[in-house]
Formats: sequence, structure tokens, C-alpha cells
Amino acid sequence: MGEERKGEYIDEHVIIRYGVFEVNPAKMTKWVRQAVVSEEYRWYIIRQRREYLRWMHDLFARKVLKITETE
Amino acid sequence: MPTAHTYKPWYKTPWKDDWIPDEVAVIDCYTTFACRHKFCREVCPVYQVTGNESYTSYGFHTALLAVKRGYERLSNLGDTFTYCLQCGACQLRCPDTLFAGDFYRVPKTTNLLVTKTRSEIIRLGFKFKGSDDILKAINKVVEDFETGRMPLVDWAKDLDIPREGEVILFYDYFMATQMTNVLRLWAKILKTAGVKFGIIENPRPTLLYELDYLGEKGVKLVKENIDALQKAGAKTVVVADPHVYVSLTQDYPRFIGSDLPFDTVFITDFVWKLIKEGRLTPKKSVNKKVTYHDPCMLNKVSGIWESPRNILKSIPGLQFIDEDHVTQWYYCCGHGASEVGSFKIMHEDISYQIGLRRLRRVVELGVDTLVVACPHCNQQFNEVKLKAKIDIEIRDISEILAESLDIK
Repeated sequence: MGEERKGEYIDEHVIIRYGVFEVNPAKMTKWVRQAVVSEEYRWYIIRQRREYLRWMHDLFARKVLKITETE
Repeated sequence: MPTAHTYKPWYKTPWKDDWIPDEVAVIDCYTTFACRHKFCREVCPVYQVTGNESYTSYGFHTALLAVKRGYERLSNLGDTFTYCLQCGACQLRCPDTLFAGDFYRVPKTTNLLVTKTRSEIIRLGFKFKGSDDILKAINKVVEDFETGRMPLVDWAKDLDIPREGEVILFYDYFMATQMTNVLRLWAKILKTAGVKFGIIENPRPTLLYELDYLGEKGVKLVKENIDALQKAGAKTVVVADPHVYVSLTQDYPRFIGSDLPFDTVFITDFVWKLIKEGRLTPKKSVNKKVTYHDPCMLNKVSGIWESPRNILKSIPGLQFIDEDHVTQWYYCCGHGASEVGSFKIMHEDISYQIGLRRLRRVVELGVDTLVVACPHCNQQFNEVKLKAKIDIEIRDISEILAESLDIK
């Protein structure tokens, strides 16, 4: 469902598609079958993760420390 | 055309009273049972009110694991599975979805698991709390539709809207019968922007996840709706009810096994685009202090949260106290993902407590108006407000925008 661009293989386990890492689907057939996940749903997850991490940062990081300049 | 949806291959396998498929037990249930994060628990509106872990995603998956191991039977679990709003918070917050869902493509799908469990209990002839009343309500909706007793297009009588077009404003019985004012305002807003749009004569009830309870009859309704929209020439379907939006974008592709032959857009996304293009300009000042409630079906399930905020920010005079959408993963109005108010039928008091908790948070923000973008949230908050005697105005976003556009 939906158009899906072919991924570029990083190694035999991981591919990269639209700049995002993804397990090689061939590895997910014996023990754990993958769900039907549309490309849009995948992007929904990616967007929500970014939002969540930003929210966590805003919530807990009152001050962002700089890397010390002197040893 | 592609939509944002997911479902598991096991979804179509029939279950037995003492048997569930291995894939459900191993992939979904065991991984949740063995998990120590419990983020699903912290984010669950039902848990926040009841404090009972059995009523969380963790509890549901563990209960099904017990069926698999022979310690429990499906027929005894019905009541446990009634304690779910299907708001989607747990399945999104679960690290299986949020941090690994795109990598492994095995995201948590608790909403569908609860739907599947409830519908299998019904299919096997067992009952759960309120199941008879819920089925009665659903069957009445379908019967009223089939016998033509529903005034589905009466709201548009004087608006001169054609019954075809590349853009179709789609709704179902709930808005057409219980939120006609909101539907009329959206139609008038689209007309003001010069959008050429139509409606269809007999939109079938969409019924969200509960369409599954109807079996083949449900699939028939799905196909009829798609056929009617295609015959009307729809290329873009604009939806004003978040529950209908989720039906079209996530449930319908599951039912028919392919993407829909048209794009589905939520009304706030569509209208915000019109504002950005300059086809609509909110000019009149609206002097209110408001906050916005993210409907679960939009924010948590569909990831739509920007456009309603952008619309509110574009209205002059409006003092908008924004509570961010990730914080609102924890909130719910208490209505639940149902067209017929199933959660209220099953657990009226918990539904009220969840709504009250949300309204108290709104009062803490010191606003005079709560803006919603969902007719079900609107109905629920109005009921809770009256019962709890909370002095706050509940307005749909279309009402605020129409006021600024001077549309009556």
C-alpha cells in the first residue's frame, strides 16, 4: 500500500530509507512478522518521537550545559 | 492514495474462547507483559482515575497472555476489556511504537487489540458489561440509516451545496443530527473561501472501531461509502469529525485491504491552508481567553495538532493559552473512541471523572473558553460542565473562526 522507495543497504541488517534507519525486512519473517505499516504511519511515528524528545528536553533541561573549554 | 495506518497480520484470524494466535501472544502480549517501563500506565486516562493496572495496556496484554497459557478464558475477560477509552495514548507512548515502531515495523496496536478482543467476545456469543446496550445502539443507528429515518442532508437545505465535486465535505449521522450548527459553519467557511465542494446524499454511519462488531454488514457500509464518494467524483475528502477521519484513514484501508481512491484531509488542515493562501482572513476581533483541547483521535491517533493551534493564533484579539500537544497525550475528555458513546454506557462514572479532571485543568489555566475540534468532546464537556457546575464556555473551533470571519 502506498508508494515506497527502495532502501539503501548500510549492511546486511539495516537499510536507510528517507534518511531514517530501518531493519532489513528480510530479517523479520521467521520469528516476528512485521505489521502492515504505511509510509505515512512510519512518518507519523518519526514526527511524534521528535516532538516527544523536544517536549522531554523542554520539561527537564532547565539549563543546557556547555562542554568545558579547559581541561 | 496512501494514508497513515497500521495493523497486524493476525487481525483477521478468528479466536476461540481458550485460544488466541501465537503472534498475538508472543509479539504483543509477552513483550508488554515483560516490559518494566509502564509508560502505558502513566499516560492512560483510565489509570489516572482508577489507579488499577489491570485497566491499562499492560493489563490487557497480560490478560490475553493468561488465555494463551490456559489460566483464563476469553469469556471471563470481557469486563476487563471494557475499561479502555481507545484514546491511543498507550500505543503511541509505548517504546515499541515511539522508539522502534519505524525501525522494526511492529508498533503497538492496543486500540485494535481491544477492538479485536471485544468483537471476538461478541462473535463467540459471550457478553461484557454494556455489550447488549452498545449493540442495540449501533444496530439502531444502522437501522435508522437503512430505513431512511435519518435527516442526513437537512442541515444543508438552504445552503445550495451540490451532490458532487472534486472536494467533498464528508460527515456521518452524528454531526448531521447532533452537531448541525458546526457542520453548517464549516460549510459556510468553505463557501466564503470560494471552495467548490459538494456533499453526498446518504453518508453511511462510520462507527469507528465498533464497525467490527457488525461483521460483513460493516464491510458493506465501508464499501458503500467509498463507492458513493467515488461516484460523486471525490478527489479530496474533507472531514469535520475526528472519529470519521480515523475511520477513513485507518479503518477503511484495513477493511478493504488497500488505500482509498481519494485523499482524506481533516477540516482544520484544509482551512489553515486556505488562511495561509490568503483565501480566508480572520479580521474581526474575538475578545476571549481560550485554551484548546486536543481530541485523542486527532492528536494521539492521527498526529494532527498544529492546524487548530495555527487557526486560533491567526484570530485577532484572541488570547490563546496553549497547552502543548505532548502534555495532552495524558488528557482525554472521557468520551472514548466511539460514535455511540460506548465508554459512557459501560462506565459512566469513570467517564465523568476523566472529563472532570480535564475541565479542572482548564479552569486552572484561568481561561473563560475551552475550544474543541471534535463534536464528541464538545458533547462530553458540555455534559460534565453541567453536572459539575463548572462555569466555562465550550466552543467548537469553527464557531470562533466564523465569529472572526463575521459568518453567522
